[in-house]
Amino acid sequence: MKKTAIFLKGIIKENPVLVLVLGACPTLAVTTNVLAALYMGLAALVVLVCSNLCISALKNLIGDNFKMAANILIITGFVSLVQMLMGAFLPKASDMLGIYLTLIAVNGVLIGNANDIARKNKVWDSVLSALGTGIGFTCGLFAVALVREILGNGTFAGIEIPFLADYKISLLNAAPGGFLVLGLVMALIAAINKKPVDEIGMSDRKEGEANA
Amino acid sequence: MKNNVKSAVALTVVCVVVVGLLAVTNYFTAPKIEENKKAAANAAFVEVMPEGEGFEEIALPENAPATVTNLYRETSGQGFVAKLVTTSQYSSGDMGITVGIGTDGVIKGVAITSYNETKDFGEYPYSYIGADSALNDIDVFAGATYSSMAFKNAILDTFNMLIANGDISEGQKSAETLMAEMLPVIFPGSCNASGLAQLVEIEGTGFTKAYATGNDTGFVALSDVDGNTVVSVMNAFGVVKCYDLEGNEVSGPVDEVKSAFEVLADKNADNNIKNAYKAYGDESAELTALTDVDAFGSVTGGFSVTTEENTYYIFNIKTFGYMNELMEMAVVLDSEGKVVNYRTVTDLILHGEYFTEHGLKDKEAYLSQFKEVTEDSYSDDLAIVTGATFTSDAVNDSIHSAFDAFKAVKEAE
Repeated sequence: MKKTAIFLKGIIKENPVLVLVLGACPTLAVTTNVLAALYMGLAALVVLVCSNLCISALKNLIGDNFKMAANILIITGFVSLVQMLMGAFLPKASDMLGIYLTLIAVNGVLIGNANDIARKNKVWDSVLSALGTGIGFTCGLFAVALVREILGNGTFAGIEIPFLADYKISLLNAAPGGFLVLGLVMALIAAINKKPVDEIGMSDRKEGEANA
Repeated sequence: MKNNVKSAVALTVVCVVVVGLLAVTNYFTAPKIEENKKAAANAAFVEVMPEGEGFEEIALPENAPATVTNLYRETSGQGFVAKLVTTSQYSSGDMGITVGIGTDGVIKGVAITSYNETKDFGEYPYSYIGADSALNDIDVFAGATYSSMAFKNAILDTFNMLIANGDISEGQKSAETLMAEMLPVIFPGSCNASGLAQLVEIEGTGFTKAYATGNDTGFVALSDVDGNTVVSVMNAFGVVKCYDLEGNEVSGPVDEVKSAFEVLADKNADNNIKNAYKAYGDESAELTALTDVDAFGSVTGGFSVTTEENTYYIFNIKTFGYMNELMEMAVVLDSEGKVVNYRTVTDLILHGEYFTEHGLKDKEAYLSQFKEVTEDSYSDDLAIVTGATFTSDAVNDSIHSAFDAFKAVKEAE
């Protein structure tokens, strides 16, 4: 596969949030605010790239019997690292994300990527794919957060929007509103791709592969 | 088997590397994270004590006033932070205040944590920063509302508690502060209903400080007599009284005060005459200006008219109403001290809806209540209208001021 294709796949065709519907938990939790969504996306991006790099580099040293242990060790290691660094240098972002920052460790996007991509591809390809997926994850979160924060709270990145602030749709701030917006954005992506979500998502994958 | 051993070794190495990396990161970030956490927890306190490092709640002393709800000590001994809750007569809601007071007895910071009526309150609380218990640097002549009185009292409560506990020492009150505290007693006509003197500083050669009252009722001066500060007050009738800073009447620069301010006092004369005529109702009457009336109420001038049947006394009055707006009235009394006419010069319904909303639908009916009353038959309930307290307090004050002035005239006769 061409390098650009590897990179772009995670952003559009296999967007983890909007197409593969991975990591739906943080998607619903942090998308009431675009800043939180961006921080979440970037934190996941960093962990994803670093862990894909390590897992891919070590894939020949660590056999399949040990892969889950190694993958989890590496991913949680980087999550802890990011958590410490954010706590020290971005305390506000750290407060905003709270427990969901820690929960990146069990995010399906990462576990899936480690198994499906990093263990099966060359280091450089894995990193490229991680970059694409990370950016796709960030964009997906951002898209959902954009709708939820602007219409649900009448603000953008915490800054009040004159007219909309008076006509908030507070349902969008709650979990059901999160599902609603996620569904609508997914429908939009499906319409652009001109294919049902599950079909595009699965098209390039072998049967039986876990979606985590 | 060989592969498994290789994998196990590799996994162990990865494990060690990850742990090492985390340990190093933790070593560098842990203190910073701790600092951030502390800063977040202290944010509310740091706002009122910017130099504060840590805060711990301490038990309220036994003498704690009801206003103080929580007391905290700055852990490095810089001072105290108190959380206060007070109510003002004006607002239905409580006012939440956080104040930081250093061990040097100076206010380091103030925060209003909750209050409904901030519109007429504004920046006033922040003027307290840097003041000690004497509140010298506070503009004592401003902040007329109930809100600021409630605020001031809550702050003073805190100071008194800490002083009584020996935590801080008392601030030295300046002559101006002592004077302002004295004025509600020695010159009530210079103060609004909250007891705050409303003065305008003026030029006064020979005096340390000279002020005109904001409602043309007279003058106040601070002067130095043989090393002692003397407060002199002069009313609208040219009567001068002098006091020391403890409020005892003393001999002082009576003539100097009189000659310095008499000229200024004259500027009201024309206006007073005009309004006195209107209140009396007979343009052809011959008015005699009253002088040397020993009354320090809200009277800006007075006249007598002698007719064949009676002698009438007309007093011009200015009082402070809502938001310290001046309200001007004229009261006519007969020789028996009975109110013959009560006339408002400035429209009484300064804040119309507010006044009428509270049961005062008919201004004429309200004012006619004062006809025929004497000092003995008058009761404050006639004037005071609940919910329109500023305006009706001013009306009440005007009637008392008229009676006081009348009494002084009679005593002089």
